[in-house]
Amino acid sequence: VVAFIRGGVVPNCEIMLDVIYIGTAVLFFVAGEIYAHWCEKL
Amino acid sequence: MNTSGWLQLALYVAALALITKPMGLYLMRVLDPKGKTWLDPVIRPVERLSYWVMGVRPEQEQNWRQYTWAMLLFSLVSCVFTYAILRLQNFLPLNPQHLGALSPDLAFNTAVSFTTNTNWQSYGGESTMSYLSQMVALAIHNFASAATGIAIAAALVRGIARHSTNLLGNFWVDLVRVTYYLLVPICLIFAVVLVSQGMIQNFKPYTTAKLVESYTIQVQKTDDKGQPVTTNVAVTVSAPKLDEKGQPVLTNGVAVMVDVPQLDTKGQPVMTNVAVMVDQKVDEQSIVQGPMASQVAIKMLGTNGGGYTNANAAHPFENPTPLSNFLQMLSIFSIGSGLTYYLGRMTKNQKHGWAVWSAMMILFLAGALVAWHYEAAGNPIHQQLGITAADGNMEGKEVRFGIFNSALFATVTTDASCGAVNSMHDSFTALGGLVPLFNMQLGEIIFGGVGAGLYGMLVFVVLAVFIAGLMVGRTPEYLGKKITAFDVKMAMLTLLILCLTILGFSAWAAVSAWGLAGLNNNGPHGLSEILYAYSSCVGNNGSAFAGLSANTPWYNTTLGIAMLFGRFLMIVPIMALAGSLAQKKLVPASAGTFPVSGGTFVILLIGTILLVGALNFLPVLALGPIVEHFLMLQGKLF
Repeated sequence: VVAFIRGGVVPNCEIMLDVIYIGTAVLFFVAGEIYAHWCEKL
Repeated sequence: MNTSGWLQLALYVAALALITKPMGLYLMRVLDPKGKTWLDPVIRPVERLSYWVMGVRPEQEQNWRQYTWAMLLFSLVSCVFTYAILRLQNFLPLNPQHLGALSPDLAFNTAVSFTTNTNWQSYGGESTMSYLSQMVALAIHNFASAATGIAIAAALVRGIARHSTNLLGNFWVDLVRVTYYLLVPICLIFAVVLVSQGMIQNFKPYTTAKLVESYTIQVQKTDDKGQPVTTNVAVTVSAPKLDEKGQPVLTNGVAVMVDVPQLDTKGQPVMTNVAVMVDQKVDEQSIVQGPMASQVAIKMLGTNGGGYTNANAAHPFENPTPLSNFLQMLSIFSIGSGLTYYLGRMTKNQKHGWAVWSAMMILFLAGALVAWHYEAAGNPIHQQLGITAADGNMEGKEVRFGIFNSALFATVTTDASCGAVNSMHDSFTALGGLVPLFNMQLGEIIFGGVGAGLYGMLVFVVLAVFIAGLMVGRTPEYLGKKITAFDVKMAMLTLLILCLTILGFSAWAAVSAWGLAGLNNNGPHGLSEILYAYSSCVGNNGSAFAGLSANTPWYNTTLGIAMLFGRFLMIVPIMALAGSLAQKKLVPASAGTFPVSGGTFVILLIGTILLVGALNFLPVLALGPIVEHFLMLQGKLF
């Protein structure tokens, strides 16, 4: 969403970084659910 | 260590003890979805409307997996929301200073920092954040992350108190009720009290004031187009000074070094471009304005700690009087202390609640007294240079607060996961600075972050009960429930994540070019700075040894990931523990049941905490502050 809003306003490299950082956060929280499942199986 | 300090300490302990029961009783009502409070006529309709908007059925409770998933989802959405605001703040309103957007790595670090209740700040608030960012992106998290911590603690306490069920409450209900009935009303009153002490609360642009005495700084010279002007100069290197015979000149057996031009392979001087510096007279000062009191109230009550200004609670606007200082310290512990009473009430064993409170209080007093002692004793090297020993170590401290209130504040803010500071911890003596560092490495379980302190302490309670069971050869029991292998695994997983994340990231930074590049001090103090940063972020504290320049992409990213690990990878096994405890059946107490109240339990609990903390962190502390202390006694500073 940030990349879309800012399109053309900031350099492409920063949009890429936005995607990477937001993606990291999303992946982490999704991994949290997998981690919870793993904890349950311990 | 003077009488004034002892009296203030006694007053602080007495005030904390006095507010514990009322706060605990109020928490009982807030954390019960059907609990009645005197705010019901005003807030109940808003609460119902919130559930309707969110599509939440408040009477529908969740098991630990559902509760945890709701918490993770909420945290993710609010984290991305904050990231977006910080990246777009230059396009958004309430930005009279026309401050630019944050870089991606700084926005990530800050968004994670406030989502996780850490409030680590790799930036100066007044020179980076617009009013909208302060109020919407950051202050909202101060409420939400605090409410999340309290909700998790409540779920764990329900798990302990209930039996033969898998339901732990509803995350959305806990989040809403804690925010609406607890945090917002207290903060409204607290903010007004802070304003009465002189704290600012406005939307004015920053004030520009003429300096009484101007001064000169060196700045880079620019041309008509604003480009830096550079000049070509020879590169010099340091080499031993030689006498007429070509022999090195020695002074006290050490070679005298001089700068000489560096030559290339052809014997020509190596040249480089450097910026041309010019003098600039400074005769104006920019004075911060903005909605500070509202931010500070929740910053302290919610143990967030992120300063409105870079100087945090050392800034005269952010902590104007001794009374504001006292109230801010009291507010940090208030909810954490009240939660121990809530634990006693919920488990129908008030003595257990007070035993946990007593263990916290003993650890707090021990830390405060050690920090106070070493700061009051001061630095012997400074004293050899003529500084009066009675003044103690005043480096990095606000003169208004002095030694005692600086040491007490540092202990309180790191016992809890607050992270606000009224003095610079980096300037503490080696062993004075060890106290806040060790407090964070224990997991900030001494009253602790709102909610986080209690659930961290309850992990140690489970371990203490387990150890007691091992000692007498019985299956351990905790409040009528048998502690099984799964419960101990979850408790140990929580502790292992804490120490592995702190030590792993610290070790990585200590051997990496990016890690060492941020250091402003070498030797053991440099290691302490790195260790403090990761301890603070994993512990979700947020205070810093300010000698570390952490606003770099590597530090911002790794510290951000450390904060995520420290918050959520610890909460998940704690929730699993809560779910496991809730499902157990009650076992009647027998003669062999270990009592979880009284002096023996308190001693065992404190012993378990210190043993685990020492086993995990003593080696690295020996390489950092402990060796730094002994080197200071040998006359060497870093």
